[in-house]
Amino acid sequence: MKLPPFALHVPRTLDEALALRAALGSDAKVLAGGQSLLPMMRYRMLRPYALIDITRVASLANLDTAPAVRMGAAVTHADVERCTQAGALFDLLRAHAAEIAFLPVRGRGTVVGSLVHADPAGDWPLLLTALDASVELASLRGRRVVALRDFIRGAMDSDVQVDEIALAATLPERASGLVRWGRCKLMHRAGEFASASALALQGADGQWACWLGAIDPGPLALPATAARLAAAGGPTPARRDVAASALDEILAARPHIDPLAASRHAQAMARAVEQAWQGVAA
Amino acid sequence: MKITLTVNGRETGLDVEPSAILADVLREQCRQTSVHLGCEHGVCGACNVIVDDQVVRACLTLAGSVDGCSVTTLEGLCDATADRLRRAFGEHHALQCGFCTPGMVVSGYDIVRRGQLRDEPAIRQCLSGNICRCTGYHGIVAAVVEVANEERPITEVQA
Repeated sequence: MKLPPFALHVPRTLDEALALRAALGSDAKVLAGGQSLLPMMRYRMLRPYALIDITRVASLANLDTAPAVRMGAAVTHADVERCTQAGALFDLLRAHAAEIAFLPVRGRGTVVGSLVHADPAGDWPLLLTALDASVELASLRGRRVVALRDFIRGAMDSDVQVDEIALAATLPERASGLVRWGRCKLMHRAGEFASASALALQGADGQWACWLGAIDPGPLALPATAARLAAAGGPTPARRDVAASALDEILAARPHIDPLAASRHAQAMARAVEQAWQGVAA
Repeated sequence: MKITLTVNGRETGLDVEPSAILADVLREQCRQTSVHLGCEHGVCGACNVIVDDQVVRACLTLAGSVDGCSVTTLEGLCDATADRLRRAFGEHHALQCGFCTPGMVVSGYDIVRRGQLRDEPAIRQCLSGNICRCTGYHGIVAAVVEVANEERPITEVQA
């Protein structure tokens, strides 16, 4: 369907954007890449009376890599995909970005927009939750920083107040010490949303983190599976053992999940662990 | 709202609705009718155009958001690379009804000029954002693979 009528504001400074946001309140939505927002408006799932396009605010386009990774609200998936910084963390960020939708969508869709959108099948909510990122928000009332794990409150529900704009997503400095990583995204067709998505990460302290995405209501940690990996050492753990451990945890955490989906998630986790063990990052 | 777009090299002042989508503006006001609207929600790729060196979905881009930008549609692809790609599409039977072709050529052109993808699986993956309901894709992929593997001067792509 064609878009319904609305007003469009394209502020050039953050102050201007925040003033508009405060003045327009719940009538307005913030537009970044629009690769989720505009389809939702086309489907009439959302009907804002005004959009505030923040992509022309120069300060929001910055992608900082040191001392910690900070992605401004206008940084696109393609910006991350093309980032040339060396290191395991950046290999992971690039690989993750490169598997989101299609190149023309990645060129406009933004990382922070994906967090605010909080689709359970979204790619960034999974990876950035696993890396313990935080989100910076601003309004005329001031600024605040929220841990992403608290920011995403549920499916399609994030903690953005009606006068706030999400400015950036920041990774903790310890994320740069990532040693090994593996990821597995299962899709029915290339470029579609994941039907199962798994991450296995090993930090500089040797501890593992195992996370699942594309599962309601949001990213799910598998601490027992991760602890088992830390204890394992040595050769690659058998895929069926990892899958069995993951399946137990999934069924315990989400007792009403479709059994087929649960086993898909468990298999994805086993493949992610296998990739991490083979040291793709090394 | 008043915006300025450089469409296929020509600077154009336009008066557009705030809710106007780039694809509609290109078709109806700029008469660049190679921009095809298939799904209108970012899945099919028939509306792909190049905005400031980057391929985007013209159906998921507001005209007001790209004020001041340079937009290239299929009509504006007239260098040697584009001609070679057009010829390869013909030779490989890479089109049948032609509806997806403008988007396919724009995507293929972007792959060729970036020069980073050369092998068949990578190019097939990159073209997966364009849907074709006639050809079964083999001809399209073969055409882009052939042109991508020919020697040509490297062009720097900013975006």
